[in-house]
Amino acid sequence: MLKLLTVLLHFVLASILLPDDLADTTFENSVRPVLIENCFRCHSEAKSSGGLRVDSREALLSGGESGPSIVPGNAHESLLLKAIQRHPDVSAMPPDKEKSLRPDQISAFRDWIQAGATWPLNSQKFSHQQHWAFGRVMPQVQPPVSKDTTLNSPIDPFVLSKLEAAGASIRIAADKRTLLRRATFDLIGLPPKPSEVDAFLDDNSPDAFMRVVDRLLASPQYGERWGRHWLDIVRYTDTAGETADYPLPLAWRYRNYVIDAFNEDKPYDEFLREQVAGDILAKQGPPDRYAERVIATGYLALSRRFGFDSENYQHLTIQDTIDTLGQSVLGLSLGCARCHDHKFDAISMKDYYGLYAIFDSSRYAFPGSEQKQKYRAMVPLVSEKESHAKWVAHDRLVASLIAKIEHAKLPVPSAILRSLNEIDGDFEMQAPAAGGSNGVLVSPWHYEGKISVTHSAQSPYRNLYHTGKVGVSVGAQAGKYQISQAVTSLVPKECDSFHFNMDFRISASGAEEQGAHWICLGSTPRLPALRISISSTAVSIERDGGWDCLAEILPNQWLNLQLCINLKNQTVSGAVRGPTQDSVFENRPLIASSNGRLNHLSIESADMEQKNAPGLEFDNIGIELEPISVISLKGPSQQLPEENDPSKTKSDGEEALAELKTLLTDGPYPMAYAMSEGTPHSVSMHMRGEPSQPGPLVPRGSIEVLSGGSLDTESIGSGRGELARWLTQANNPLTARVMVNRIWQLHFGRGLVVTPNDFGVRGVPPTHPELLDYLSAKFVTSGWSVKAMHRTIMLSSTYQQSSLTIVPKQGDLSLSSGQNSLAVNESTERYSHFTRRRLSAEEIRDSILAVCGELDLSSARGHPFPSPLQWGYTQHAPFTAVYEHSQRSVYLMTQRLKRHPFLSLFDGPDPNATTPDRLGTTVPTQALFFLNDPFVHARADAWARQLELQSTNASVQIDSAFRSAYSRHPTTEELSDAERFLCAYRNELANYAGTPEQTEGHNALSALLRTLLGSNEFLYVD
Amino acid sequence: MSLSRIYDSSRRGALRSIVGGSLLLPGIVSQLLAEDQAPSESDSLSPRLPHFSAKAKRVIFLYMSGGVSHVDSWDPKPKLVADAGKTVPVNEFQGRKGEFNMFLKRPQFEFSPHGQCGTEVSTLFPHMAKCVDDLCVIRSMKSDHTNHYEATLGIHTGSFTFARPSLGAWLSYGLGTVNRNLPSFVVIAPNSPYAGGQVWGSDFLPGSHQGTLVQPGPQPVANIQRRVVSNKLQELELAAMARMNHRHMESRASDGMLSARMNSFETAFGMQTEMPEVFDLSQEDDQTLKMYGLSRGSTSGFGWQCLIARRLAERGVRFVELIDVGSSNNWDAHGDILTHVPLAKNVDLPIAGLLSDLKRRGMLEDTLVVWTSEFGRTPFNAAKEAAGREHHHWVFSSWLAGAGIKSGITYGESDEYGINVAKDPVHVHDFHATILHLMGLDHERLTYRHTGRDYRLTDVSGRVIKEILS
Repeated sequence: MLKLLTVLLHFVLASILLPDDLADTTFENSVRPVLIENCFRCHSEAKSSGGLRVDSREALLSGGESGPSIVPGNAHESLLLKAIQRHPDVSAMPPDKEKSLRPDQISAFRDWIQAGATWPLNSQKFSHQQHWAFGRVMPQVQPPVSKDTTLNSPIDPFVLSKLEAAGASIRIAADKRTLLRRATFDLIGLPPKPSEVDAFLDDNSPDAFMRVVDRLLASPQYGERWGRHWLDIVRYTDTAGETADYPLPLAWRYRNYVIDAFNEDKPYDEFLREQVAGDILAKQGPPDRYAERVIATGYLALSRRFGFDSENYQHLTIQDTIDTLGQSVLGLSLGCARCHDHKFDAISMKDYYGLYAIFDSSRYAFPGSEQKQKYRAMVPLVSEKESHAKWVAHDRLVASLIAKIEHAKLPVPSAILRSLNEIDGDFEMQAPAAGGSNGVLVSPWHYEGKISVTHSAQSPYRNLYHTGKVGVSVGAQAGKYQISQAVTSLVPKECDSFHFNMDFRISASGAEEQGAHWICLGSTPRLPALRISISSTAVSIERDGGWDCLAEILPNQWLNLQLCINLKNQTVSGAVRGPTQDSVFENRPLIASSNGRLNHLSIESADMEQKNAPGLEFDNIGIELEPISVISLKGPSQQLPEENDPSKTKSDGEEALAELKTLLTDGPYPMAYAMSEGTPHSVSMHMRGEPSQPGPLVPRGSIEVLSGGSLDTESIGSGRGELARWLTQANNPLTARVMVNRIWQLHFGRGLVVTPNDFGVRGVPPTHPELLDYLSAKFVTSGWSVKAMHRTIMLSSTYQQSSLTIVPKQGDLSLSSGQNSLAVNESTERYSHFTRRRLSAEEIRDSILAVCGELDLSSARGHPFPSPLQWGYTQHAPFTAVYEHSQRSVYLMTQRLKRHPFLSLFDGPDPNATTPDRLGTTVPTQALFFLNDPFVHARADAWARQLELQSTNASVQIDSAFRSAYSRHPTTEELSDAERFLCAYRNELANYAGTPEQTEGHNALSALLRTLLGSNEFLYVD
Repeated sequence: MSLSRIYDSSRRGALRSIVGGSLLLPGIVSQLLAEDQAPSESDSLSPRLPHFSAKAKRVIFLYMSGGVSHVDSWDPKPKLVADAGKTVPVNEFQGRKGEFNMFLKRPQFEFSPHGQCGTEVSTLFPHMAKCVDDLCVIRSMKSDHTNHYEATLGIHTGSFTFARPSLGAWLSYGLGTVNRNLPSFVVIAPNSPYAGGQVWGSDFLPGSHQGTLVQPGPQPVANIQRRVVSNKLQELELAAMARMNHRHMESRASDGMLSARMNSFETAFGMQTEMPEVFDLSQEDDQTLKMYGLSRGSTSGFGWQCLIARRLAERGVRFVELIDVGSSNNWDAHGDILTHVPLAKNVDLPIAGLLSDLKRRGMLEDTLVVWTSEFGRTPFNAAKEAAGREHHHWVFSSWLAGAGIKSGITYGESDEYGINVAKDPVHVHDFHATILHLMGLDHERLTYRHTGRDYRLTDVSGRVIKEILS
């Protein structure tokens, strides 16, 4: 009894000492992370050692084989505490003594159990039906408002009804000048030209503003401004972000795609589908849209790279893809589910790894890295058929040029710009990496089991690939393994036959083993149309119900297998050749039970019997539409006719070298930094987010809340096509809401949901949920038109309100009653005035260039990066550059590791993560920019020269300057003030020797113009 | 425009908007602002109270780029000397897992006890050795990554993979600054380190908290040099701009953003004076210059960096980081450990000078000095005759000195060869938690909400090493 009392007392005391939220904090900060980190691996969904799970309070209470793990309120009776204290009576946990918990961690557990072991409610499996953002977009009727207010747009009643409920109203409209300046910056990111101001002021027709909006939406500068918003959200930059920050010379194509898409008002759903699956859609669509669709997948390809051998960190790149996809399209942070079911949102680990499998089954263009300095897997912008032929021709030309160069004994530059068509059959892109990689296979190959990339597995034959250093080794008794690649793109549907090549040898050691290896070609891994077996004694082919020997072979001899697969007759012919061997076979039938499609190649352990297999080394895999030449120990170069004149040889070689350099840089056709299809497969969950700790296998699929399911494991393709559909289908409420909210936010400075990248439980609910749904529904029914949404918003009274909190007396416009009843915050939240904003970094630079008459409005393409042939960037000497130009700032080259100095000074986008919302900080270093930066001085100087050409009259110059910078004339006071300034400045300049008298006037005018550029009126939009 | 900005901009104190429109002399304005100690939420740099009272007011962070060999500097290993040439098995080498037999390599510098406390230091750092009575040498530092980039990011931001706010940015965010004419966080580096500007970035914290880069040389800060020929001309410009801004404000009086921006020009004007003052060493006497090993007129070298650090610290800068070299030609002694010698010579006397100078001025009592590298170097190598050492993050050495630190002690131990931590590990997160604690901040409470999560410098771990606190 006494004990019970003590327990109760403890419990009560502890509860007093630890109020709920504090207990929750202890749990979230000190208990849960330790459980996840140290215990989940053996005691959660994946595995429950000793019958125990520790992933819920209930599980801990029911405990495992040893009984309940915790006694809430009595830490000392709790097995869990004893285990982590390594009490002699119980099994110490974690079992590994080196991983013992620290004293502070143990005491956190003690406190938590003592306080009742609460498992915070919001962390229990979340029911998404209850959260507003996952609910259907509901049709909305406009709420009633007082009759005497004139309203311009269907959205006004939604805003006004809330204001009226608070005793306030929509403010009077901004004056026309202000409205024009606001609209022009909003839509094109530039100040209006004086002529545009005049035209609008003179236009008294009721639809004058509507015409302004239409004019701005039709301007090519619109896409440059709104495209930039999207580029912020998708963390666009021109470098890869691994430790040496390799340049991405082709990324600009995606940047321009985005700009063009906004200019064309591409339906938003289509815009998304193209970015997620454009390479797949390209094959279905009209040929003239092939290139743009492929380019669109730059959205995914731009995912950040990590480490000095970024393919070793592919899991982090995919994580970046999923994080960005979740936040940009769905407003959900999916990233948490990488390590555990999402604490707050309806995202499970299964959801996460379903998406992961989709991206792991896709192929990302490779930007180069410190370890592998050449970029590759760029995606052709012409159809497969066309690109394949061009690639073959290109390869031949390269080979013949190399032959000439080698013949002249000149150094051969290593190949760059390997494109998608490269299957990496010679495994030269798989070179074992120092310091990290264990020589495992990376894309385009997919592998499972114990294999390695070694020098000893380099084949001596050169009939297919000219040079090489490595091949693949499978050790004797390697157990189950598979290396595979989807080869859809290599075998066009309409072709009659194709050719296959592979070099191999059975290793000498372990040659006594009875087992075999298989080479399979088929429609999917499990439906081969052709299966060849290699044992230490024979190469055999499967026919229905048995095996036929094709050739008897000996171990430790490099052999070459060639096949010609005839798709029309469904037969295969070929040969196994070696120094002492030439076994030819003809017209063997393909496996009848297959569906006849051949788009997947694998080399794997035979699984028909439990026999150990001998070691196998293989290399030089090729799939070609043309016949492949027979084996040769000589490369193609030596097969060319010899040129005997040495000087001719040398000049030929030099010519060839120059030609080769161009050829290698330009490639056989235009390409993009984009995505393509990889080898479809399921993935193991990464327990605790660690790829080295595989958990259960998850098939490709979408997240549950999108009502997307899992894909059949045998289904063809990565699954991005399906994902694109799931993201944009009608019953997904998030996609439209998130985008509509962004458009709203970029007009008003804040979203209806003020956390634009987080519509989850941790985000802030909408201030005007009915309005959000009204707009979302309208967005979808308008055909996902972003431009239509601009019109709806900008023609509203809500948008056209004044930003002034005190209305000037001269205007004789008094505040409407009740205006002062709103606190400022509330007033902002309810849109009872328009919120003033500072110009963004890009607007600042572009506006300075524009008013000074120096802005180049042409559209830019790539950046002047050094030739890829010269690349050798390392973490010790990473790529870094700043390229100046006078085109719009959206075309500035930005890097992930080193931020652009100007953009970072004025709160430009984060180059490493999605930026939903620019900050508008005010720091003295920005003021120093306006005072002293050469850019500002040079622009003001040029501007002054132009004004001087226009007129020699100071008041005319001042008037013109005010009209450019502020879209208005100076007041009389301002004019005389400016004139006095010019005079005082000239006089002061005269005091300094070295200023020629004739430039004093010019310098004074430049100084005045700098003050205009630095002023608040220039930098803020009302 | 962020949510917080909108809220904050409208909540500014009256003082700032009154001052904002004024034509007061810049000096007076900044003084007024500096005295306005009431924490203003609108102004992310205004001084803020710590979580609890703290001994340290500021940090000077000395970062040696490339990985200093612990067994050749701060961590004596007689057994490594005795067993040099023998092999040890290790299960990972330069990021590769597997079983490797490695040759133990003899430390190249002799150790001997120094000071009253008798802490052993090698001949690599003869001048710092004389300061051991002021140091707490940690011999059980641990990092998470074997590569420079990640380890450098880790020691600065607590994150080994992703860009996150730097330690200095967190301190600036937590405590603000007391001198508005100078940035709160200054980095003095001759060259870019591994991972570049991310090392002093503010990432998701407001941009005002990012480190301001000072590069040794004639023009140490961008745009700090007045471009017009005289102050008078610049005052004319500022006055003209202020008049325009003032008129603009008339109908926009309640907007704190506008007045803050007007103030920023006055601060900038002040910085133009105060920053060059920091770099003007003409008032430093010969003896002081000598302490730093600096010859008069020189504007480079680690001695210059250290002296500038003291002058910034004196003027209230919260966090000064010195990077000795950059991402190349640094302590990364793969080829030959003797390449440590010139690098040590570059920093040894200046650091000892800095410590003595701070001490004689009484500044060591409220200044925390931190010395570290991103990792140590392997006590072994793959070849018996290898002259260099490879990256080693399993254990390395750092030291702390000054405010709140128990001086003249060592903390933690590596094993007999200096391969692993043997006792009292100090992970980078623990190191950061301790530095924040010394500055009066609880590393678990110093958080920032970003993408729906409360981020902290120490992620989900970190322990304040109470044992080394005085």
